[in-house]
Amino acid sequence: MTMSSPVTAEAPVPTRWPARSPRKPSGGASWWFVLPALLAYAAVVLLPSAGGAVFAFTDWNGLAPELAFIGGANFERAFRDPQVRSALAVTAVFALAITVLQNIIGLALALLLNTSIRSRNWLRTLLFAPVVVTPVIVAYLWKYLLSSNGAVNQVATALGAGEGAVNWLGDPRMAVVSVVIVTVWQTMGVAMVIYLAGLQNIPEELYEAADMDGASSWTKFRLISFPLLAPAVTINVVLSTVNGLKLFDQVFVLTSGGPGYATETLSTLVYKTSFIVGEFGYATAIALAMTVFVAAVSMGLMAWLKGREAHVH
Amino acid sequence: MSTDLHRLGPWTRELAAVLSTGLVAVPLYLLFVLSLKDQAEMTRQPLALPTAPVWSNYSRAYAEALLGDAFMSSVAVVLLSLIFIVLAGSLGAYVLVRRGSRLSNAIFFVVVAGMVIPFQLGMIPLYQAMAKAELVGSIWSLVVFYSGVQMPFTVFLYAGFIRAMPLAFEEAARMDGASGWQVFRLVVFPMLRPITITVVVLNGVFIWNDFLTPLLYLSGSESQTIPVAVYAFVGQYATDWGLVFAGLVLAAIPVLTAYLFLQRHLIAGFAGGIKG
Amino acid sequence: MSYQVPMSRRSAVFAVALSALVAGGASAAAPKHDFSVFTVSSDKAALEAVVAKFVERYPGSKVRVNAADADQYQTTMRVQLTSGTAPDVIFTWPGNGNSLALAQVGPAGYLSDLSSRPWVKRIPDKYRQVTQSQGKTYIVPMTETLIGAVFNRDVIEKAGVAIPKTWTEFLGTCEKLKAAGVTPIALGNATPWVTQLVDYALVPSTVYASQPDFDERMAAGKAKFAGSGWTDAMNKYLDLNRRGCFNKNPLGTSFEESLQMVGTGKAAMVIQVSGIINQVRTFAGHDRFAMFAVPGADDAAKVLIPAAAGSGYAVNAKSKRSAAALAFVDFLAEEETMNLYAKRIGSLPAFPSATALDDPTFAPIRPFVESGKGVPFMDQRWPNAKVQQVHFAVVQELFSGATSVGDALGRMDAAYTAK
Repeated sequence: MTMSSPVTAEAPVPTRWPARSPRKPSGGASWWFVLPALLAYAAVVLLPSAGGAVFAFTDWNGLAPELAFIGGANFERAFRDPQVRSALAVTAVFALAITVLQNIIGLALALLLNTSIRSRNWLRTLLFAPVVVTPVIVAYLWKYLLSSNGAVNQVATALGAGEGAVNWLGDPRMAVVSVVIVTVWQTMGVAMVIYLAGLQNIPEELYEAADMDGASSWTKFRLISFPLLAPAVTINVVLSTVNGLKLFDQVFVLTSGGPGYATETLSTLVYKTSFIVGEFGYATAIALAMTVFVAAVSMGLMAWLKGREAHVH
Repeated sequence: MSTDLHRLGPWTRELAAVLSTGLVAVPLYLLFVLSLKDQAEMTRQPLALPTAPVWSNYSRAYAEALLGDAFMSSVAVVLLSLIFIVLAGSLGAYVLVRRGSRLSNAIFFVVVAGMVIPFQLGMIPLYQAMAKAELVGSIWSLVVFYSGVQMPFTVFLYAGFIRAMPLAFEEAARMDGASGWQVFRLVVFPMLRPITITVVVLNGVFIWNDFLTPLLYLSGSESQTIPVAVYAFVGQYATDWGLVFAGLVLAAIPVLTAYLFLQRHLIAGFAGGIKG
Repeated sequence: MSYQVPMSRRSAVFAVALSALVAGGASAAAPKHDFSVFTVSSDKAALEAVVAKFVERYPGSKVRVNAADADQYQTTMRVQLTSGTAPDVIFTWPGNGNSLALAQVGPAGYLSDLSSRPWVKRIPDKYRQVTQSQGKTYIVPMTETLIGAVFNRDVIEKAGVAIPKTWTEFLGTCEKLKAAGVTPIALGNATPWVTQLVDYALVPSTVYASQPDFDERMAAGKAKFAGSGWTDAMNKYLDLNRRGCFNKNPLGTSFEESLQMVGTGKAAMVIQVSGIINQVRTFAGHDRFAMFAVPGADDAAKVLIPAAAGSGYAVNAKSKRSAAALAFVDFLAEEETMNLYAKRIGSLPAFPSATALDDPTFAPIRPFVESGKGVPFMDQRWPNAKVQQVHFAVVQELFSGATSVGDALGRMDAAYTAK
């Protein structure tokens, strides 16, 4: 069974049927077909989100039977709230770090695997395994490994560093690093696999031609592999950015947003504000702002990268 | 297959291979090894193989975390959700792509834009609606939830694939007098097999591993899924690391087993589908 | 506040009478009470123990017990209460100050008014306020939780230190333990709720000893965290850290690790709630542990301790099985039940009981309890849940050097007055 060939991002433009065709329009793709999907989507996502968004303009605490409309006060408050600004910064840092690391490591691993794929199937299997394990499980595993007396520090101590060598989860800056490490450890397989597929789509002849011209490895990479990987880069970067921006499970388990607010992201902040502090209206306002932020970043990124793809071609 | 690293020399490549193996294998190894240690040994020598494996950690973890029931729930949720997601998603994408009108494009955009909405926004109103429908505490709440929430992504995947599909087959079938539904069922859907695999794989993994929503709907009920059972279990027994790890291993085994058997499909799914 | 002996005798008589009734009426079947109850994970074992007794009394009753970790519990319960799917009996925190405290949930109409239950009269005066909101009683308080230094007897004896009665003595104890090569105090500040405990242990002495009405004054806007005895408490907290009285990297140490340290003798003590004593015993494999009061002042007479109603159970106002729920809650209020519950947790029962205080574990701190030198946990008197969350975060930031005591207290003040 061969690997299914990846659908490239450069798909042909769909044929447009005439607006009113003598036969059933669109080859029988009746509007009824789209109903189940639309209904589910509207009922579960659109309507509740719209309802939820309304709460952003109230002071509801999530419990009391009464609430009051307070207009845009929540948004004003969020704008001025240092905690929101800090969470925004932390979220951006996570997204950036995770994207960069995941892609570099993923690409490196893909290049490594590409050299002799037949003998390295087990390696590919191993490296991809963390992707399918539940993030909560992975996070708990690492929470122990990175604790001050955990396996990682024990190894470091054995290697000569002092006792309780690195404060992985207790130092504000290291905590950010730790969350990034744990997340990238789990998801680098995705980037690797996408890059691998991309690499395997590059025709041999290009490399052979380059070889005949006496090109070095680096030149081959720079002029052949990397440009032709542009679609894979687009997908990987967008994916990891959006995931990074929405990061929740790992932060929740590893640090609960701490120490202090060092690893508090927009996601965890919204969650805590809703349920633990009990300011549901305010939390929804933050969630709304976050939606806009994520949408803007992902669409902007997508557009820029697609433009780059086209340019390369 | 000549690529760029070819010239780096076998030494470097081997080293890279070993390092990356260790990077992934060591934590997984520790996960298994630590589940068999008792408290004392955990602190004294965490990295060595257990001298006296504490197998009871596993039986206790299984019993306390109610993993058997959780497994059943997870399976049920995933299967039922996937059925709806695949059918509704493929049908929906098919229409929206083949229609090609401004309306269908607009609807497509609205659907796909749903991918950026954070779940917290609609969480409470949705919960209240589910409660009124008396679905809370039953796996159906999750099936409904995932059917809706995964629709944008699924439609996106299917649409990308369908766009690249030649119309010839469908046209031929229409000329043979097939109805719209028959065209879809007999011609289009079979051709969607590669992307359906992707859809199944990506959605399946996500739903299996999802944490927060099942936490809300099924927490404490008999139908809680595996991630929730794990979280509750760890929260309760956090002081007994060996037991906790045994629970984690048990919870991870189903997915890892499926992975070992289906890894080609899984990997193909991730690689192929996302690119679409 | 001394407990009234006649009371417990009366309830003992009541219990005997009841069991006689039940035993005598075995053929006339005791009613079956089916209901569901949800609690926090830390209380699950205790709850299951009392539920077993309940089912003995009402055979055939089906009781569903569920538990969740505190944070998860708050989330799930809030959502369930809003949509009317909450269980019949639910664990609720006394007072105010967290999102599932009775003052947040009760007046909103989610909890049944229990004011007319027979045991309400037996609620000790010191706890009356935290079991009520706007004059109505909403919970039966189950445990009296103390915060103090839970210490490993073996370690203390080996190092030859005496139980300190003043702050200066406490510092001296710390030095002696350090010299003996032992970590004086295990501190697990990686776990958010642990961060507050040392402050809580000190504030009664530094704030309430001289201003017993501090909470009322804060509520009236006449006092703030900043510029009060809280400054002294936090400085003492940080001083302990500077002197190396805590383990290395408190911010990277979890609650569980801190217990393990005391259990295995690596650390001499941990400043914690009484409810964790059983867990420490599990780590140690023995029960040679006790608790002494952390002396937050240099005048031994001015030392007060945090002692609060630690947990309580309320009835869901929308429960369809309120008869069963009320029967259970009444059962919980019985002395034997409460003692069993408290013992399983390792705390004292909320309704005073002579037998419970006899436990040698509480011997060093017993005089404080008996002479009424307890102060409720500070968050129980705060008007919203945000102050506590900010407290957790600022302590972590103080330990990482990201903020100062003045700034920290200022932020707590801002959270206190936030709407």
